[in-house]
Amino acid sequence: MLFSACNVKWVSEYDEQIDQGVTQLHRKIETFLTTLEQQQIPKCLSTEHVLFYRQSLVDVRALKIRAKAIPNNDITLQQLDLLEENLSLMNKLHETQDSSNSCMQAGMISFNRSNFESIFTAILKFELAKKRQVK
Amino acid sequence: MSLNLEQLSQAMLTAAKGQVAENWPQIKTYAKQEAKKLAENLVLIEKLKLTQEISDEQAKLMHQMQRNATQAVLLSVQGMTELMAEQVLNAALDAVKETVNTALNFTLL
Repeated sequence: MLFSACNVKWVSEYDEQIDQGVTQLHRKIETFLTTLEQQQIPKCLSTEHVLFYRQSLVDVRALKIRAKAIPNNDITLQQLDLLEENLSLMNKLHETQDSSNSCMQAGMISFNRSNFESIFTAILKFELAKKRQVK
Repeated sequence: MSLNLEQLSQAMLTAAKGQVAENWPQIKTYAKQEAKKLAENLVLIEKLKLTQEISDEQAKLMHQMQRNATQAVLLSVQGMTELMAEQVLNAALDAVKETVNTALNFTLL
C-alpha cells in the first residue's frame, strides 16, 4: 500500500501504453479470426499462421514487461498472463484441428472470439477504471 | 477546538456511502453481463461436443480457455472493487481533513 499526500493507493495508475497495446492486440486477433472464417484448406491450417501466433505472443510479452515496471500492477499482470496462456491454447486448438485436415468450424471460431473478447474487455475495463481514479 | 467523534464519523460515513453508491452499480452490471457471456460459452462447448464438431482434446482445451477468461473477469471485478475501496477511504479522509488539521494545528491528513 502506498500513501501519497495522505491518499491511500492500492492499485497502479492508468497506463496509456497498456490501454493502446491491448486494444491493438485485440484488433489483431479479431482480424485473424475474421480471416480464418473466410479461408479454405490449406490456407486455414495453423501451419499457415505461425507468424500470427509468434507475433501475438511477442506483443503480449512486451505488454507484460511494461506492466511489470509499474508499481501495484499485479492484477493487470495476472490478466496478461491469462491472455498469453489463452493465445497458446488457441494455437494448440488450431493444431488439433489440422490433424483432421479441416478448417476450424464456425462454432469454434465464435467461441474463440467471445473468449478473447471477455479477456480483453476485462483488462481494458480495469485499466479505464484506473483512469477515472486519476484526479 | 476539540474533535467531535460523532460528527467526524458521520462525515466519513456520508462520504464513503457516496462513493459506494456511485461505483458499485457499474461493477455489478459488468459482472452480470460477463457471467452470462461466460455461461453461454460453456453451453457452446457442450453443444459442439455433443454434435461431434470438436474432439475430447479440443473440449478440454476450450474448457481451460474458458476458465482463464473467467479468472480474468474476476480479477477485473476484484481490481475495480479495490479501486472503489481506495476511493471510499480517501473520500472519508478528505471529509474530515480540514476539521482534524485545524483542531490539531498541523497537517496530519
